[in-house]
Amino acid sequence: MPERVIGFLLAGLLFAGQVSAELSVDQSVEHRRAVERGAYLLHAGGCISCHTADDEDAKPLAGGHALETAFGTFYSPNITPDETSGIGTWSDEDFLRAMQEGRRPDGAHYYPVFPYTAYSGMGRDEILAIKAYLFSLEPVSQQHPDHDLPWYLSSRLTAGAWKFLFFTPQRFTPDDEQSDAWNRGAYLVRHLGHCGECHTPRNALGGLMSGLELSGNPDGPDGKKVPNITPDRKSGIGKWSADEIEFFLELGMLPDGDFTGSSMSPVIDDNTSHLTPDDRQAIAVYLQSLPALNTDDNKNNNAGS
Amino acid sequence: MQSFRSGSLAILVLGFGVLATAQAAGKPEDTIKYRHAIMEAMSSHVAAILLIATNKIDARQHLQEHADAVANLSGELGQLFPEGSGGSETETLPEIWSDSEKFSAAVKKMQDSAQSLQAAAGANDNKAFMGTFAAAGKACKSCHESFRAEHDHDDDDHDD
Repeated sequence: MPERVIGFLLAGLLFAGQVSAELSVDQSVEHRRAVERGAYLLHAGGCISCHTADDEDAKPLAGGHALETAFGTFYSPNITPDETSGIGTWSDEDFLRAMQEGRRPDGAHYYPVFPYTAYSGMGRDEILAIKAYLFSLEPVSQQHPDHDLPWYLSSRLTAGAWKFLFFTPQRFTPDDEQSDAWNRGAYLVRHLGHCGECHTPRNALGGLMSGLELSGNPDGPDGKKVPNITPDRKSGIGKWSADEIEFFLELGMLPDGDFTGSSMSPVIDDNTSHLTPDDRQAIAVYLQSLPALNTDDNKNNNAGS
Repeated sequence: MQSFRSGSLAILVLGFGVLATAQAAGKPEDTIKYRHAIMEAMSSHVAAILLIATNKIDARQHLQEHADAVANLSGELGQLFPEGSGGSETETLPEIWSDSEKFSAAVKKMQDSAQSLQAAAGANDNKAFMGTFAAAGKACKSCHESFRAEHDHDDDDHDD
């Protein structure tokens, strides 16, 4: 009798062992897929150019990139999985809260220089895939300098007030009236790629002027003028064919045969050149569907401000 | 006869050398205008190449000419930036002269990639040609990134 019991037990153990082995295989395949997907999303999300310092031997994603804005100089944080200087101790929920709500694990508000306003449109799976990828990297121990901000912005409570005025967390919902390519493009441009952060003008308090989506920003990061990318033929990119937009996103070539060396360069190198041709095409479809905004008329006003 | 030929070749080469130096020693504003003209010419050929290579324009028989032009014009790059031809009215960055080693390497890379483009233009393999085109574009872009100030495309728009 006892033999039989032991036999059952053994069979049970073997079975359980097999199930758990299968489960862990499933999980590791799933995890590997998430890591791969996360790598793609990390490029499409433009994380690298801001979270990597400018020096040639800078460690990717270890932060320290200085972003000079009209509101002060911000230094990007280390997002490698280092436990002290990076995000190594973050839970999934911490990471989601940062990306969708703009909050640190301790609850403090992020300044909107971190484009959570755009990332907020991303779904849970995509965000956690990015986290899976980041956590698959070697941790780098590197502290970043404190932000250099005017006194009235130095408290993160101001960031909270700003969010109250200009930010409502909201997932992206596809528009059924539009094609799949349009929806994919809208998602890439508005959310993952956060193009409007540089290409949409801001009001005096730094809120994006949504009625002027992607019509250019006379006072962009590093004091540079960022062009109008709506389909206006004169002041925007209305003369560009879809192919030309895709080519620009892949190689940085403008339709006149010039190659950009602008602040768009790192975006092309780290983000858009890594996208699939379908995704670049989707971006072109969306950009060409935007209302054409002529910004030449108020050029003088902009130049004076 | 043979030695006469090589002799005249030597004179010819010498002549080019003198010409290159003379050009470098031109008045700075003329050097700047000339440089601008060469860059514009190069980008016009590049634009033409892309229109042909992506089958927008049926002018395959001219592809080689445009690729030759890009290779030849890029051969001039080394002489287009003599000391003293920079300044705030140009888009040149001072690193062209302060980091001349890096600049020369960037110019060399452009010239090499333009030669590959030239070689691929006649080969009737569009995919391979586009590969060389992308590589040449990369060379243009990386040099502009390091050595050209932010380029305002509004300034180019007056004629269209």
